[in-house]
Parts: sequence; C-alpha cells; structure tokens
Amino acid sequence: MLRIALLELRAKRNWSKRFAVSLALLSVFAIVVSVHSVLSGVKIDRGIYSINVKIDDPKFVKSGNPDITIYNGMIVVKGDLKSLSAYDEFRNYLRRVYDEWVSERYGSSAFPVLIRIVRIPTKVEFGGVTAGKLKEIAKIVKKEEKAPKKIEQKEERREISPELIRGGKELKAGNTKVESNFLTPDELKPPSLLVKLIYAFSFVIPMYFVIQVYSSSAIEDKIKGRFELLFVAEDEWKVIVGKMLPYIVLSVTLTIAIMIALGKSLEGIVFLIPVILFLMALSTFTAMISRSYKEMTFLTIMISIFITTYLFIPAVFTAIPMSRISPITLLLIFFECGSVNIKEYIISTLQFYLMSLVLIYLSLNSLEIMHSQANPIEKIVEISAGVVKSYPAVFLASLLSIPFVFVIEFFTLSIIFAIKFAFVIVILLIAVIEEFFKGLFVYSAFKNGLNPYVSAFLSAVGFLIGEKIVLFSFVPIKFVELIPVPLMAHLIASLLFVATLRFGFRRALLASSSFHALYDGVILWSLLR
Amino acid sequence: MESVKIALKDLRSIKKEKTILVVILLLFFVASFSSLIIVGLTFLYSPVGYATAKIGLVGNAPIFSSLVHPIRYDSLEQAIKDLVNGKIDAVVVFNENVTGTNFVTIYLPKEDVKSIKATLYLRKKLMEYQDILRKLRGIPTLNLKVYEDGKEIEVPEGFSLRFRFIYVMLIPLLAVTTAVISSAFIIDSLCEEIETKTLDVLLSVVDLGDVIVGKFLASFILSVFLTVFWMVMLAVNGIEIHNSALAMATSLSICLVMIALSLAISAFTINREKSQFVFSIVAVSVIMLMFSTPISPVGLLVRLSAGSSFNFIEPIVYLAVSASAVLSSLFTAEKRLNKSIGLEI
Repeated sequence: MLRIALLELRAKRNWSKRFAVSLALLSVFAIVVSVHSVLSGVKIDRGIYSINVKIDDPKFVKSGNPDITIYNGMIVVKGDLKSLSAYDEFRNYLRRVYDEWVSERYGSSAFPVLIRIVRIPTKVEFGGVTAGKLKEIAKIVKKEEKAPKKIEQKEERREISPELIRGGKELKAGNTKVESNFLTPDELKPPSLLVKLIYAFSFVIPMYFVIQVYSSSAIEDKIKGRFELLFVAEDEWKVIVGKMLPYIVLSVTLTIAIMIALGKSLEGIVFLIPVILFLMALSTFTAMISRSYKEMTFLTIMISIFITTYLFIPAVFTAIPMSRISPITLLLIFFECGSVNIKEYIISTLQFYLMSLVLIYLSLNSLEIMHSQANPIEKIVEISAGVVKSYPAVFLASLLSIPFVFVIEFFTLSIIFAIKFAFVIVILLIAVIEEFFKGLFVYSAFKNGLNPYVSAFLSAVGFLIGEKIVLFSFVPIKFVELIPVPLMAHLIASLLFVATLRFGFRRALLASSSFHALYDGVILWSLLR
Repeated sequence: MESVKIALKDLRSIKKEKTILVVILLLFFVASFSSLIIVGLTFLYSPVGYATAKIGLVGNAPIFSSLVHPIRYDSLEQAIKDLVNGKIDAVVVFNENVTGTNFVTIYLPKEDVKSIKATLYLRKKLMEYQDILRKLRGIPTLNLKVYEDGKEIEVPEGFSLRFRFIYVMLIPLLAVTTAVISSAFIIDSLCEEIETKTLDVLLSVVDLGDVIVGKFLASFILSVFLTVFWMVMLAVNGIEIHNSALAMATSLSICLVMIALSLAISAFTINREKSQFVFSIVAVSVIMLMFSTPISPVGLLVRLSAGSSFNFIEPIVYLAVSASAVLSSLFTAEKRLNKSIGLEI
C-alpha cells in the first residue's frame, strides 16, 4: 500500500522544476493577496448609497437624486428598500460621529454605563444540570464576584479617559497593563455567526483543492489504463487506499496548519478527519463512474456543494438539536465550549466513516464497468446489481443508504428553499429520492433472482430502522411509539414498486414515490392543521 | 465559420452529458445557500425574538428597573442557578450610580445561540438607559427621527441586511460563479482534446487558431446563457436589477477575463490536472482582489444592479480591458500550442 502511495508521490515529482517553481510562486502570491484582502475587507460596497450632503463614509456618495435627503434638520427617505437601508447605515454613521463628539466634549461622564460580560456554561435542553457542572459554575461566580471590584477600583483610579473607552480594542491588544474589557451599550453585540462560519469554511476549503488534484489524478489513471497495471501487481483495495493516502495526509496537514494559524485547539481535527476520508472516498467513486474529464469536473462540483450544504447549513441553525448531525456544528460548539456530547460526536462522525467505507467498497466493485459509456446513474444501478446478491445484503444496503439519502435530502431542501410553494416540490423530491434508493436494492435483488416481495419487505424495514436511528439520536422522541405507521407506509410503497416493476424501473419508481409523497403530504397536513 | 462549428460541437457535449443541469443546479445552490444563511441570521437576530428576554438583577438600580422590569435576586448564586437552569436569559449585576460611572456585569450563557436574544434586548435597553443618565447629567442625546412623505416612520435596526445581502453578496457571487464555471469548461474541453489526441484529428481539417477561438466562443456562450439565467431567476423572485444591460455587460467582462486567464493557463500546462490546479490558485487571488479593491468590476456590478451612481466610462474601461485580455490570451495560446504540439510530433 505504501508503495502505491510513494508511486503517487513520485508521479507528482515528475512535474517539471519550472512548473513546481511557478506553482510555489503563485501560491505565495495567492497567500499574500488573501491576507491583504482579509485585512482590507470587502470594498465593493463603496458608493452604493447616495445622500445630498458630503459625509465621511465611503458607502455614501453625494448626489442630486439621493436616497437620503437632509433638509431643514430633518432626515427624509424615499421609502424603497435601498433608501431605507441607506438610512439604517446612515444611523450607524451618525452614532459613531455623535460618540466621538460627546466624548471629546464631556469626557468620561458621557459614558455612564460600562459593561463587562461573563459567560456561564448552561445546559437547559433535556434533563438538569449535573453536580459537577454546578461546582464549576460556582467557582467562576466566586472568582467573578471578587474580580469586578478590583478592576473598577483600578479603572476609577486611572480616571478613565474617553479615548480609553473608545479604544477598548487596542487596549486588549496590550499596550497598557490593565486589561479593559468594558464595552459601551452600543458595542454590546452578539457574537457574529458569520465569523464562526468563515472559520469553519477556512478549514474545509483546502480540502476542496486537494480533492480536485486527487480526482484529476484518479481519473487520469483510469482513462490511461494505469489502474489495470497496478491491479496486476497489488491487491485492488491496497491500490485505491494507497493512492488516497498522500492526499489524506496532505489534507490533514493543511487543516492542522490552518488551525495553528488561527490559534484554534488542534483537537478540532477529530471532527474533520471523517470529512476528509469521506471526500476522498467520494472522489474515488466519482472518478470510477464518470466518462470524461468534463463529467468528472461537474460531478466534483456537485460533491463539493452536496457536502457543503450538509456540513454548513446545520451549523447556521445550531439552536435546533438536529443540527448536531454535522461535524462542523459540533466543531463550532467544541471551539465555543471546549467539549461536546460524546453520543452526538459518535453519531455525527460515524455516518461519515460508514459512508467512506461503503464508497470504497462500491469503487472496488465498479472496476468491471469503469470504462463503460453508460451514464452515472445507470452505472450506479449496475454496481448495485453487482453487490446486492442476498437477502441480508438487501437489508444492509437499505440501512447503509440512509446517510447518503440524508445528504441528498438536505441538499434538496436547501436548493428548493428559495422557490415559492417549495414544500410541495420538497415532498415530491424527498419521496422520489427515498423510493429510488429502496427500489434500487429491490430491483438489484430481483435481477439476481431473489424474491422481490421478500426483498421489498427487507428494504423497507432496513430503511425505516436506519432513518429512525439517526432521527431519534437527535430528537428526543420515544422510539417504539412512532414505528408502526411509517413502517406500513414504507412497506406499501415498496410493495407498490414490486407490483409495478414489470412496467419498468422508472414507472415503478413513479408509482411508489407517488404513494410516498401522498403519505408524507397527509402527515404534514395533519401536523400543521 | 469553422470556429463557430467547433463551439457548437462543444456546447452539444454539455447538453449530451447533462452537465448543464449540474451547472444550473450550482447557480441555484449559490442563491439558496446564501439566502439560507441570511434567513438563519435574521431569524436569530430578528427584533421579534428579543422582545421577551427575561433579565435577573442583583443590586439596587431603580431607573434601570423601571426600563427593564427585571426579576430581583438577593444573591448572585441564586440568580446564576436560575440562569443555568434556563429560567432567566441573563443576569445583570450593579448598583445604580446616577452621577458616576456604572460598572455593569452581565452574566450570559456561554453557548452563543442562547445569549443572542438577551444580548440584543439588553443592548437596546442599556442604550435607552444610557440616554436617560446622559440627560440627567445635562448631556445632549442623539434623537433621530426619519420622515417619508412628511410622516415620521420607524426603520428597524439592521434593516439594511437584506439589501446588502442581495446586491453586495448574492449578485457578485452569482457573477463570479458563472465566470469560474465557464473557465473550468474551457480548460476541460481544451485539455481533453489534447490528452485524448482528438486535437490531432481536428487539426487535419481546421486551423489551430479556429479550434482555440471555437473553444473560447463555446465557453463565452455558456457564460452568456448562465448570466441570463441567473438574472431571470432573480427577476422571477422579485429582485430588481437596475441598469440590467450594463450590469450584464460588466458581469460578462468578469467572465471574459477569467476565461482568458484559464485559456492561457491550459495552453501553458497542456494538462488538465495542472491547469485546474493553477487556475484554482489564480482564480482565488483574482476573486479576492476584485472584492477587496475599491476599483473593481465587481464593485461596479454592485452599484449598477443596485441602481446607485456610476460613471459611464467605468463599464467601457472594463470591457476594453477584458477584450484586450481575450485577444492577448488567444494570441499567446495559439503561439504556445503551436510550439508544444509541433514538438510532440
């Protein structure tokens, strides 16, 4: 395996020296540009608003037909979105100017309220607070009870100057010994979620670069027939894993480097390793099923956006328990609180490990058809037919398909979200996605000579169990209470699929998903009523 | 004419491989993903959400209490216990001092999401409180009123978020995504012809120049199609794009520059893996520069589509720049490929 990994590295060493040097120079340039851009911030909003007087804010330009008119000491707006937004930003500008003026004129007495924030770990979701946690909190409280007096005394002795308050940030940077964490009410703002998301993005983006190089290399090996040569010399799985190895190491190294650069705890890597493995396995699989470079590029883009939604959309809605399904949500919680719920960690990362294993297994089973000109979906059907050959396999395949179904469903949800009457389309698509996977395994079993009705039953049960395991790990509902009705629904849909299978896969899929959508629609309607 | 035929051949392959669906999906994704993030943010920061935060107070503060109506606690420990158990959203600790500085300690839940509601509520109330104290000290306060058609109106805090999201985030992202897709397309279609040796076959009937122009045309037509697509998509969703013709021209000038770059890169590397890799690095730098410099086509696109002021010379300059980038890229690509293909034979 290591030999294959070395071979892969050596292939990269064949890059000419000139290319390597230019690549290095370009990378340095890119880093310099990125740092410069991050430091100078987004500037494309210059001059988007207009006002009839000249003010010292680059977002505003003076204009004859302005969004905001200052007239007779009154602020007049036009009432459209742009004009009202301009007022909202103008108000912030005025507050800044006012604060500067009032502090110059009245000094510290213009800032009668100074705020200090203490953050306490809480746990209110389900169940109470543990004794250990209470003790820990008591300690913080005791320390804090003493602390403010000390700081206040010091602050008062120093006769806080307005500059001191306004320049709170510079103070934190440490040009004086007394740390001032005091804020004015104006500065009291919730921590920005966007900033946290950008952090998380910066860990994941390098992975996209790595999978791009990896998938290029994989499909090149496939198209040029190098895989066949390697398979002669070495076990198939060793070739595939060996080929992935250098890229996995590279991704992990890059992520760790970014964590160090951002000053984050390195333990965070345990949330990202399963994601890296999954991306590699998925790229291998897509390299196997795509017909050309172009198809590969677009499939890689698809993968990147599938995974981006699955990782990041939940992280925006951290208040919802289901959001813990994404390791990124847990990573952010970990950075915030220093610990995560171990059960949630296991479930959220386990699905990624499972998906990686399944994908590698499927890639190994796709070697025979990797050069066929069938389209990717047809290839997936073929691979499934090659794998699902016994009753236990039907059950297992259906069970293991759940994480994939979830990834695709999440993506569908977030794509359709912006359209009107989205919920109708969402119900239809979710039904099609779920029935496609269930039907796929029944179809494969049928092709391999197994009884379709027994397979339909196993597929439905496997699917339901998988679905509920994931769901109930995050939402606290009793497991057994909710089983019978959805089981019946899944079963009927699968049986419908088998009954209509003689009219072809597509029609059978149409029949079973129509029923499924109808069922979901009725349930949703009765819940909302 | 030959180049048009080659362009059509390439465009047909997009249709055949259904990749166009993926591309459209990608634009949908950019729009939905960013709007979901914004919904998430406004949902958390909405003014409706913070109307009901429950505040605990330890200490004696009559004026503050008349504003906030807090739950009074005698001991900090009891207050913290209630905070931990979720009975209140924040604990405020201080004794009111009408003449001096009030050092207020606020205890908030460590988990960000839980503290947002209380933070926003306290910010609003403490700003009011600060104004009351200032008035007592004879300091003039900032009292803003805004009028529309002679009537006073209320503009909520953070109202500009939606506007900024549409014009400063969504539209630039869609334009840049379109440019990246069209560039990736030209790299693939050129490198594939070289690596699978189909270029040699093509060259037996057409000039290299025609092939390159054809490839370029195909990816330009793709970018025109995608730009029209996202503009229509936004219009259907009720988002107005002002100066649409000029906005489209500016957006396409961004595409042209990126396509020109990727064409030159693939002509120099003649290998898909290397080209894609180099292009990613270059694209990241170019995009970042376009967002962080005050003079950039992206900034112009923002102002054009938002209906802000602009100078007519700007779009002309950007179009001229992109046209010269395209010409020099076509020229160097032909020269370079002629040399390397000649060497291979």
